[in-house]
Amino acid sequence: MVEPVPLGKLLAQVLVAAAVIAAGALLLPVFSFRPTLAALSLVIWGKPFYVWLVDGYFGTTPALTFQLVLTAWLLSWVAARARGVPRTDRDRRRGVAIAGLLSLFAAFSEWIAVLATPITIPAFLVAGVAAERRGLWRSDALAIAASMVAGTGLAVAATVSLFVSKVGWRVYWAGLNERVYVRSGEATSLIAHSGVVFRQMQTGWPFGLIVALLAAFAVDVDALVALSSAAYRRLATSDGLMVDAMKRDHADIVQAIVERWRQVAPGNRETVDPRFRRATILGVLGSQGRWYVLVDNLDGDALPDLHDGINVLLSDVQTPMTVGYAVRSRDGRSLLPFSVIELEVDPRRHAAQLRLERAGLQHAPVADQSRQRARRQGRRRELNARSPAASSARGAQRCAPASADRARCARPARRARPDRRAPGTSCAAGG
Amino acid sequence: MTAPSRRRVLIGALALQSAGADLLRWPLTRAPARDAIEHELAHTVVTSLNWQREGALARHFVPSRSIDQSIPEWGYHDELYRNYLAVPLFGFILHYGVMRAVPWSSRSRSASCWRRCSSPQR
Repeated sequence: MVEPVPLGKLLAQVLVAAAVIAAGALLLPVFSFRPTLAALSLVIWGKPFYVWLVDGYFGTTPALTFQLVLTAWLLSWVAARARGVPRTDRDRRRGVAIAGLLSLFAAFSEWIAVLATPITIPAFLVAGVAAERRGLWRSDALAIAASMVAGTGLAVAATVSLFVSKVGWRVYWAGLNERVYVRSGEATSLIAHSGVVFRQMQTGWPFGLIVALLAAFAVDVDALVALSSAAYRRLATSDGLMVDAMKRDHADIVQAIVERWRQVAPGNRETVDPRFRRATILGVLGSQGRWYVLVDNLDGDALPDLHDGINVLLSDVQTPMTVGYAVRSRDGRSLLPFSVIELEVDPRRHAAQLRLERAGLQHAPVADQSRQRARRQGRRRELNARSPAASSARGAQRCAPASADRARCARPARRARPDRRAPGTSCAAGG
Repeated sequence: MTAPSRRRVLIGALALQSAGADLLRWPLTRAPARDAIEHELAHTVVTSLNWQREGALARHFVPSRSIDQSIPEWGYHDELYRNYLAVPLFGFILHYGVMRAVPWSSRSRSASCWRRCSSPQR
């Protein structure tokens, strides 16, 4: 005999497993095999699904599982349209119906889905209008957005109707307001509430889990980049106490991440800057049209401060980072053991043109102006090779030649592997 | 590896991991509700049992958390129990449907069995 409480937990586990498998099938053509497997493994083993949603918050479980499948389905739709996969009118009708039904079931399960779906809808509205103007996609995006609005609206209407028909509008409205008040308390700021959710998310994916996945799946560049970025974001969004605890309790794990980068992208040293010393820049990895640079500061008795902020120049043009660069914890109390710089660059560019500078150091001291003039005269590379101090005037590091090839920029450009123990060794890039 | 075989391998790996996770957390799954988070599931159970007794349609699928104090799971109630009037309903309906659909679930057991089998663990 199955008790009702364990039955509820088993039901939640079945829902999670079904949603993960369905999302996997949909996301495979979008993100390829390893990233999909790694991301959905996080869902399976992460605390929110593994414990919280199964053991409690039962209404949230179907909401988030339907939302997961809906998101995966929308991404697969966008990927298929981008690839120009042919489809029939029946496919279109089925797609619109799927979006509407998933939105309906998600919103009928928990209010969180009612808040989440409107994030997706405007994106499809904008895409639909743009596609209409260009004569593409035959308004599928608009139909899907309308379907999601209808599904969500129907769920809200059904919920309100059922409650009001039983308890009356006044009682329901009072209950709804009281629940909102209890949930939100005195705080009225969206940022304050988002902060609570954000801090909870930080506890949801244990750092060890990320690294276990790294060890299990990071055998190619895509997976290594995805998991390193996940670990970096996890660190960068933690407060100082948490970062210190991670560095203390998971020192071997942090080392494992850096070692994996060294294996894949050993890089080499070209210039030295005292302000960057002991910080090692490993090779540039290319993945999915982006470049990633790992900066670590593991060596030394005390962790050196890389200082917050860094400029990235490609062919002397400032290149924006797609993810904010950080070297300290969220509250600034602890240094991160490593950082991942993520860039979106023209694939025709060459990594040899990549330069990293500390922010706010673009202007050289007066004493170094002669060296800068020399650089302008085309001797910059020579100066860098002769005297590390020459480049230190700009707080700059130049990365060695590297291929911008999508997945194969891991081979070092030079034979020399950076001697990370020597003071002042720093800049390196994979070839 | 071809696309269909990649899909089969991916689905197999995810199914295997899901089964492994469920197996590892089996002691948690079997354990009675103990903390505030698990009380949420207990309230879903209370609603299912109330609907079973009084009829889900008659209740308009409204959760009965604040009225069914005769069920032993009432012990799981928290300070929000009177205000459970504003949540969407599909989770409750899903649990109720599965309880009715699974013939070997405990929906038909007697009240005495209820008291014996699932007393609150607070």
